[in-house]
Amino acid sequence: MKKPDFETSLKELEEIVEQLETSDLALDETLAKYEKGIKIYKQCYQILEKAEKKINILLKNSTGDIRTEEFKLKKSGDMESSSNEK
Amino acid sequence: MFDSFLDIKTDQEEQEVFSKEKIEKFFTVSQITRKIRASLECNFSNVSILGEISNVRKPGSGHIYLTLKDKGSQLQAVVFKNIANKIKFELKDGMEVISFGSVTVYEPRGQYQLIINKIEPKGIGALQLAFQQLKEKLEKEGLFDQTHKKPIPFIPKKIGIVTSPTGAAIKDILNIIDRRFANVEILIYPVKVQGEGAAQEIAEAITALNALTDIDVIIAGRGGGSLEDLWAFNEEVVARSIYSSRIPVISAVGHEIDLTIADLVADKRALTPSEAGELVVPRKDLLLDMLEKLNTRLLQSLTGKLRLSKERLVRVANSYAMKQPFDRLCRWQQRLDEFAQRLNINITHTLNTEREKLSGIAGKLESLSPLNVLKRGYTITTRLVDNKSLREAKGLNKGDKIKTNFSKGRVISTILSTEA
Repeated sequence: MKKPDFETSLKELEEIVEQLETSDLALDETLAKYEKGIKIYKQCYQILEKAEKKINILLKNSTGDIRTEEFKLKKSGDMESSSNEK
Repeated sequence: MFDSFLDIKTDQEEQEVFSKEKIEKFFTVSQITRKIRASLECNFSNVSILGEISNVRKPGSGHIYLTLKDKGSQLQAVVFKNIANKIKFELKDGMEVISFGSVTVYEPRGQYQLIINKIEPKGIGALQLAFQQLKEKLEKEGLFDQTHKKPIPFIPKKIGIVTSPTGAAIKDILNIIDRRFANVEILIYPVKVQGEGAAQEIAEAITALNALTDIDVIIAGRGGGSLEDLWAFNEEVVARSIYSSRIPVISAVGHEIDLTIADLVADKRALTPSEAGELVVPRKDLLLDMLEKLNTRLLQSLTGKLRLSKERLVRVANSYAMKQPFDRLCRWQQRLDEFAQRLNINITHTLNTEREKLSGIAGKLESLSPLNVLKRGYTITTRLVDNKSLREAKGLNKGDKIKTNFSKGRVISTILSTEA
C-alpha cells in the first residue's frame, strides 16, 4: 500500500488531536488514538526531513551518452556575460 | 558548334537582331519568355503588395502556392520551402497580408508570379497572429482544458528543471527552493531557451524527463525577454510535449505580462521563475512548526485524559471499592499495570512522571483494599441469608444470623439484641 502523503497525514493528525481534546473517549480509545497520533507525527516528520539536498545537471557527451554532475551556480558576474537569455 | 551557333543566339545577339529590325527573324517561345521574365524581374523586384490570400495550396514539397487578390485582380504567388518554414503563423484564405518579394515568370507555363520572401499579416504582428492562431487551434483540441490539469505534489521527491543552466531563471528558482525547502532533490535538464532549435530542445527535455522514474514535477521556463526571445514557449511542439507529460509541469516564462502557449497548457503557470520556486515546494519551517504544535497538543490532551481517568478511579475506590469483591479491584489494578506498561513502551521519556503518578494511585488503591483494612483490626459483617454487607444496625432483628469476616477466618453469630 502506498504511504499517505504529507497533507493527508497532517489532516489526520489534526483530527485525532481535536477528537482527543473535545470528545469524551474511554481510556482505551484515548490511548489508541494517542498512539496513532504519535505514529503519524513521526511519519510526517520523516517526510520533511528524510530527503537530502541534491542538485544535479544532466550532461550529454558527443556520443549522446548521458551522465549527471553536481550543479553549481556560477557567480552572478559570470552569469550575465554567459547568459544566453539576454 | 555550328548547330548551336545557328539555333541558339545569345541575348546580346538577339538584342542586335531586334535593334536592327530584321523582321524575317523570330523569337522562339523560350526566347520571348526569357525576355519577358528579364523585363519583369528588372521592374518588379523587391515590391510590397497588399492583397487577400485565396486558394492556398500546401503540397508535400513544402512550398506554399497561393493567389493574392483584391476586387479587381489576381496575382499568383509562391512561398518556397525555406521561407515557408520560417513563417510563424499559418497562411489562410481570406487573410489580408502584405507580401514582400519579386515578380518573375514561371517559364514552363509562361505565367508570371510573385515569389514571396516575407509575408506579414496586415494590422497585427506576425508573432501575435501566430500566437492567436495556435491558441485557437489548441484550445479547440482541448489542450488547455482544466480537467486535464494534474495536481502539483505538495512535497515533491525530485524536481526536474528544463531551462538554460546559465540564465537568470535557474538562479531564481534554485534560490527560492533553497530558502523554502532546501533538502530536496533537483535535476536540471539544460536546454537552449531561445533561437533556432530551442523549442525542439525544450520539448525533447520534457519528454526525456518523463522517461525517468523518480521525477514527480517539472519546471520549464526562462527569464524575461522580448516576444521573439520567448517564442520557443509559444511553439506547438513545446505545447504538445507539456500536454503529453505524465509528470505535472509548472511553466515559468518571463514576467507576468508574458503569457505564452506553454503557460496555457501547463498544469500550473508560475508568473515568474521565482514564483515557480514558491509553487513547487512548501515552506518547511511552517510545516515543522505546525507539526510540533500538534504534537504538543497531542501530549497535553493525553495527560489531561489520564488525569481525569485517575480522578475517576480514585472516586471509584473511595466510594464502593470497599463493598466490592476483591477480584474487581484486582482487575482495576491489572488494567492500570497494563496501561503503565504500554505507556512505558510507547512514550517512556515523556510519560515517566505520569506513570509514577499512576503507580502512586495503584498504591493508594492497595491501601484501600478490604484485606488491608481487615489487617488493621476491622471486620466486615454480612447478613447470612443474602451475604449483603452491613453498614448499620438498622434493619437487623433479634435472632437474625450474621457473618463476621476477620483478617483471618470468620464467625457466624445470632443477634441477641439490636440498638439502632
